[in-house]
Amino acid sequence: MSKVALQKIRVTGFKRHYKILMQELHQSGILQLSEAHNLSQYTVSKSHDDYYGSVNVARTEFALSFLAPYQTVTSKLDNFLSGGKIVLNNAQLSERIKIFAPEAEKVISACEKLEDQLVRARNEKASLPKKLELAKNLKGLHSTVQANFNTETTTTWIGKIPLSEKSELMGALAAESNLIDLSVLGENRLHAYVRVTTLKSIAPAVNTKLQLFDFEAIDLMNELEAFDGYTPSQIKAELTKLEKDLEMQIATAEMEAKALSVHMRDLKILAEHQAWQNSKNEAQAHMFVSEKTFSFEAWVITDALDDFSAWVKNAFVGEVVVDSMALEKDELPPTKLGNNFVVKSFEPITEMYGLPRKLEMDPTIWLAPFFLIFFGLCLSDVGYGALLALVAAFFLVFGKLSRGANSSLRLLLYCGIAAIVGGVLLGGYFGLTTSQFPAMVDPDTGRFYGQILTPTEGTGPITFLILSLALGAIHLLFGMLLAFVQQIKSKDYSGAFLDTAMWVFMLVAIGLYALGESVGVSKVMATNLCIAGAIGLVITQGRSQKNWLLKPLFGILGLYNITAYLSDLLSYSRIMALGLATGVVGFAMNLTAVIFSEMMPHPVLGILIAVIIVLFGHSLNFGLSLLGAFIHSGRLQFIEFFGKFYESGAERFTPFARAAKYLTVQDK
Amino acid sequence: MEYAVMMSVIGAGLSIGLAGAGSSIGIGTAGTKGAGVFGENPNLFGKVLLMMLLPGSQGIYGLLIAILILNNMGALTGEISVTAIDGMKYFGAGIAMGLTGLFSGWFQGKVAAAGIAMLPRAEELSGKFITQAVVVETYAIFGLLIAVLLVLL
Repeated sequence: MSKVALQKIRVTGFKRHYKILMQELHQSGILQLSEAHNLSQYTVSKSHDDYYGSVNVARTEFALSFLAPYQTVTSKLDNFLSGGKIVLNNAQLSERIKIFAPEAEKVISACEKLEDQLVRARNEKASLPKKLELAKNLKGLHSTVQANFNTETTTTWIGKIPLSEKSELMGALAAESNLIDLSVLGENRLHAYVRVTTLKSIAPAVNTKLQLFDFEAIDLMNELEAFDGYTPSQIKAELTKLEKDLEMQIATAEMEAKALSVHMRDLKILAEHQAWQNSKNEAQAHMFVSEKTFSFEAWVITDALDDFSAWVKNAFVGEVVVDSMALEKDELPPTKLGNNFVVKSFEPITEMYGLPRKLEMDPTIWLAPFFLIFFGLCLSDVGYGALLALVAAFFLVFGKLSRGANSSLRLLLYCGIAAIVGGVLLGGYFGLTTSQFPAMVDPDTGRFYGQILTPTEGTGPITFLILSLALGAIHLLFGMLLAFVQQIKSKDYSGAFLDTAMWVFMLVAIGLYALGESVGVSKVMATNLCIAGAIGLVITQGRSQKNWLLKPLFGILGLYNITAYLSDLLSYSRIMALGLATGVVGFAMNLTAVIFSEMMPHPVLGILIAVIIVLFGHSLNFGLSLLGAFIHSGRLQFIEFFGKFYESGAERFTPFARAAKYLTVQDK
Repeated sequence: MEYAVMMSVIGAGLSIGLAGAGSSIGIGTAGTKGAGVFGENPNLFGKVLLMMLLPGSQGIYGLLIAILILNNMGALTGEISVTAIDGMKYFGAGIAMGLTGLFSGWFQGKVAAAGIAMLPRAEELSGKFITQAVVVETYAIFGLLIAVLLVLL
């Protein structure tokens, strides 16, 4: 079985055992709590949060994100190999928590204080340039800045007008009255800063004129709040001093943050631990609780059930009971895939599409070989394949990644090996051609040593195309075989024999007709088989219609499905297209490098240019070919293959377990 | 001879020109949507990039056909010789690849953009969004298939 068997259980017990039970379950991660419900007035136990006092996960996460820009990475390689996660075991974990938890409040509040200081200082610093600009433009004021320049008999405005309107305004004011004084205090690219003084008696008329020329009064007390009684030049000096001051403050705060960033490792451990506590707290929502007891339902991995029951019996001397429950009729269990070591690596492909439902089989083991073959033919380059395999192998050997990541890496390793095989078959060696690398060429065949097919010459393309389509035919027929098995299993006999088997017969007959006598079947024989298949389909495909007249009509329409199968089959020609694309684009990159290097005036320069072009070009080709090979090998599974037998749509088994955001906890 | 060479060169130009245009439009459409999405949630960058690059393959197919044409007519080695029939074939190959590449890249970009827009709300469906976009590529692959056969046979 490649689906892990799950059993529904109910656990009932006295509240005093709750904490230890949940601790154990959380660590082992063998069960998924069934749906949450909040029915009870009672709670199971108090929140565990008080363990940390006021330090909660949100504050820890805040401190982490605050410190992140300031950390000095000590070992880039370690970080790289562990995927940025902290690797430690359970004992080290509780040790660190015990040491750090009392200090956490201090570290986190220090972070909060620093953040506050930094934000304030940065905001203030950001507001300085505007003030400085204003002070510069007021340099002609020759007096201190004050709230009000009015006297008993005069009114004064300070403000700015667009530079373009300065002379017009001056003319207009001169025409209005000779009792108006306008002095320009300063100018920048767009505006002139002016002071206008006049008699109170004519002030309203002057104000109207000013508005006409887009005069904008400046409230000095608002803009330069702290500088009442300073002259503009004093303000400038003060602002410059203040800026230096703020820069100092920011630098000091950043230094302190840098110093605090040594705690990041502990903060991460703490945050993870807190998240675990939270998930345990949230588990309470899944409990039925009475005054003294608790009970909950869950899906447990069947294989782990016996050990779990035994442990419960031992640990709680019968005061916690585990009961197996029967499934209700329409109940859909969650799904967990559980394949062997090799096939496990292909599970993400199935998961990408969707998980198998209650009665469906897990298709992973069936898609794995086809995926590899298609991938190998699509990438089809020994060099690229070796590169992929080496990178994957490097991380597998030297990396300390989680089990899931290692499983994905193994998939890359297999894919790399498949691409090497594909490359040998099609002669893909970094896009080289035989004339560019004569030392590697077999003098008898004119091919690379170890190359089996030349896909770009003679009958090569057709051979490659036939190979692709043949693989496709096998893939499709295999999918239909799986559909047949599935239908028999779910007792859908008419579907199995009248639809799936009938179509397989028809398609094989058409195949024999197309291949003709090369497979030892005479034309007449093949034709008869085709006719038999067609008649069979016409009889069976209309059977769901009630009306007897419509039955044959729908039977004939059913035959039209042949086009769907044809387009499915043709879809596999993409293997050939992608396989050729890798080689030819690689070849083009090499060629470009050669052409450019020959254009260079000096051979050393030429070699340099060639190396750059080759590196860049092949990285690009490698990346895009890899992407294409992956996506299209996947697509052939999802649409052509799964379309025949697989629906998916089950809920994923999400165990009540420790999340692994920052840590990789290794036991022994 | 000169006529055949002209047809071949136009064929190569159409192939990479149109298919490249299709890829550019497609990636542009998907990329514009993508910037908005991963701006909101930077964790989605990988998935957005993957989907954004999907319409990139048409341009590569176009390049592939163009290079095969140039190679076959000898433009890469220096001695150009094309028969009249080969010229026609290369022209047809360029049209087949160019047009299918143009339109499938263009519309694949739209489908990819729609998928990208849904990513923040349904990240777990990313595999299906990719599959949906890849369906559009089928016709560029058919175009490529015919073009390859025309050029190489």
